[in-house]
Amino acid sequence: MPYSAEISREHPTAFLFLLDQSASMQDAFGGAEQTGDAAPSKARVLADTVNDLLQNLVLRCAKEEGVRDYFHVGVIGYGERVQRLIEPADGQGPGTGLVPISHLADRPRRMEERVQEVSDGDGGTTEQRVKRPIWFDPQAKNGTPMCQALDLAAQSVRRWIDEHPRSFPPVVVNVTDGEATDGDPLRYAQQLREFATDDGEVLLFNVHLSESEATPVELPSSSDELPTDAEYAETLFQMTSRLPFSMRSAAEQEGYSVTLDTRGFVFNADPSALVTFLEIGTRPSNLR
Amino acid sequence: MPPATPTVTYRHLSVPKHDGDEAVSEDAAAVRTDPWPLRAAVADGATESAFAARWATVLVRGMVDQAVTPEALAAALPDWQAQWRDAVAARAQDAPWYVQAKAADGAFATLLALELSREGRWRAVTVGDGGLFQLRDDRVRVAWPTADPEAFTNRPALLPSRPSRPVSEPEPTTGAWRPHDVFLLATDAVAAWLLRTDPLRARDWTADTFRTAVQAARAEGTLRADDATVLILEIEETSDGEAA
Repeated sequence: MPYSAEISREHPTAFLFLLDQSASMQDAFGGAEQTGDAAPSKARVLADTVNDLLQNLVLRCAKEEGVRDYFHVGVIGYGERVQRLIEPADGQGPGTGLVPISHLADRPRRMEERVQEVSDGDGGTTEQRVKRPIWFDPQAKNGTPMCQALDLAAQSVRRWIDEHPRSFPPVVVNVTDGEATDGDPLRYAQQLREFATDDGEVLLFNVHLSESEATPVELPSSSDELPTDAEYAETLFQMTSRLPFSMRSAAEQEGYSVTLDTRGFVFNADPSALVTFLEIGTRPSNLR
Repeated sequence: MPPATPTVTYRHLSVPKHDGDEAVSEDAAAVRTDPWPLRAAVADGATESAFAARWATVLVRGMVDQAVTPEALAAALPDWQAQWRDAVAARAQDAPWYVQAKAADGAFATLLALELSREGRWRAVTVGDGGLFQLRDDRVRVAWPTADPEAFTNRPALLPSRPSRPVSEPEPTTGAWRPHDVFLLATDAVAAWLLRTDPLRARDWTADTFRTAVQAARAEGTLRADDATVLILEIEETSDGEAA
């Protein structure tokens, strides 16, 4: 059965995040409760969300003696430039742009401290200071060179698969708020999804961040579920892989009803739909 | 005539999940044979948490000094949590952010404990999916809390090392024993495997034959890749000369 490889330090999997950093990411989410200067930009929400996600991925691999390299992780930003936002450790060369998660864990750009309310076990709450790693900050400038980003992603996963041919295949998650401005992304997406390990083809998921107050369309099984007035919604749907078994289970646990045709796609995502999807899309088969 | 004192011998058999040089088990076991009542406990630290082996050890050592009842367990838990907190605090203090975060989240473990009274009664308490077996002659007298090998999931009830986390309710049971009975206390992977095959086979296990059986069962897929631990308690004839 494809997408069932056990994930171990010997056979890790990879997560590659493609983040839209175009000028429109400066705007707030559609339907945001706060408006004007108080509303955080999509770029800010995305940076916070991805920093949190990377933190959670590290913690899923962390034990008292250190971080086990079950995952390799990369982030590619696309806007003013198309660039890798997580650099390999010194002396490792450019490589695949996918770094072992222990390297990521030990090299945040900085640590921020924040105060968290936690239960005191006695019905009340108590304040706890927690350190929060920050790997990158919001950026929003210029156009949406999604095709170039997909092309760079394809180069990364191709080289990574050469080194890990038996692993659960890389999962690429593209988060955008609009249309590609540098060509037809469907062709690049298809090229990316043709790369495969023994366990299955590369998975490409897409999250479209909302500009309107319309309800999010989460994990559609058919393009009939998409709004008819946005042509690129159909394009993004076509670009997206179906969810493998382990992620369908994760989606069901989150309360979604899924079918074999369910795609890893959210259209018009609000911040909470973004967070939920990233949780589902980073649940490959069981860790060893 | 005073009641005769039975003699109990035990074997603690354990093979870690990764059976190799770096092997570290997150299961723990403890037995108290003196004074009576005799007590035995096994705990299984959750892999996803850090400092889980330490938590499992605190639990089994604490449990063999407590009456084996849900009430005594609940009453002792805050003290065990304080022991774990103190043991971990020093190690977490200067550790990287992720070790501190895992320590703050706390560790989790299942716990199964058995108490034998000299008078021929026994009682047990469990949180999670450890398995207790009572073997007599050539049959399985008790398989508790489940006799269904498919009932083992990846989400058992757990005891948390942090007081801020919810505690799963301990379940009790009781029974009677007599000389020559054998009790098994197994962590989940071994319990499911015994139910799927034959619990009676455990009576003859030694450290070597257990390891060989575990390796074979892992290879053929009947035993899940997990820490494998079993305590085997054998009740001998009474050692009291007058009773003989």
